[in-house]
Amino acid sequence: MAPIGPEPVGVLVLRAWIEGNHSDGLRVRILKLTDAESGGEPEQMAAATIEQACEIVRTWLVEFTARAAAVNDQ
Amino acid sequence: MALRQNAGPLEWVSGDAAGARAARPRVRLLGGFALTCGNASIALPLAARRVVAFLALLRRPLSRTYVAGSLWLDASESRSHASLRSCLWRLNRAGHPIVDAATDTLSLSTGVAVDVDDMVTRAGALLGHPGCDGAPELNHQVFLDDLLPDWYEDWVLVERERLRQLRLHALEALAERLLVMGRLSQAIEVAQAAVRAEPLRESAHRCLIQVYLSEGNASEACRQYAIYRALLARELGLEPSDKIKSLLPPSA
Repeated sequence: MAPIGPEPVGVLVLRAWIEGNHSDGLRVRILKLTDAESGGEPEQMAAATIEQACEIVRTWLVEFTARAAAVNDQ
Repeated sequence: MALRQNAGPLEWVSGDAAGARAARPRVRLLGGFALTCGNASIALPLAARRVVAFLALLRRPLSRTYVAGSLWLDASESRSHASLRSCLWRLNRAGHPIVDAATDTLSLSTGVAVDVDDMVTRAGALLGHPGCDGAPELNHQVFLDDLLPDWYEDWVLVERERLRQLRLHALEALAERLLVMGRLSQAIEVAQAAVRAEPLRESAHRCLIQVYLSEGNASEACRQYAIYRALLARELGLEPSDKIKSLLPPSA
């Protein structure tokens, strides 16, 4: 049968909230787990704007795909 | 009396056997995994713990294929199903109905209590959620622990963050309630727990500052504000809001 894995798996979790219901009250806690297979404690980051959060997500995806490509090349 | 099953990894490590068998099995997921029945703790291998935790969190009948595929990501379908069958066999030997295994689906047995459900109900009572009636919980211990803190699989991470947000709301609501009741030392303890759970959360710092001010401790309030201000500058390059600044005495 076809394997379910073992493609590289990463996990990015965003927990967002609005401080005081203000328009500039966005807070985002970001947990980054680049290698979900091997586990390990997630790295934590924070953002206060949509742009910051998107940039963190983008950077993570770039790093993740580069890492996955490196693993595939081995 | 301690009862020990010699064959296999399942064993009763403490407690009275007859009492344990009559009691309701309990799954603890907050602060770490444990499966108990009465005074007896039921030791399980890690793979079986993951099955129980997965079913306890999702709380609905799940297809065997979904469970096997979620828990054994890097195994073939046949291998993951074999691993799942092995776990179910071990769970079946626990001597308590923990998992209901139908032909195609699995679910946690209805008689099994889960501490997460209890925490959610108590938080709901504090926060006035519909269907969570009863006297609100004034003991904050139930809101202190993270879900399975040393587990880092995706299905745990997402649920842990969802529950953390609920715990934060509950802790803040409880601190405010204790403040109104004049139980200031308890309110400080609870507000500090909220700050520890999410240091960037201004409402938690605000709550703690309000309690310090209520007990006439302006210097502690100013110190807490300074801690929050430094953290916010370092992590996000922001200044605290006017709302939290306005709590402090004009001279601060």
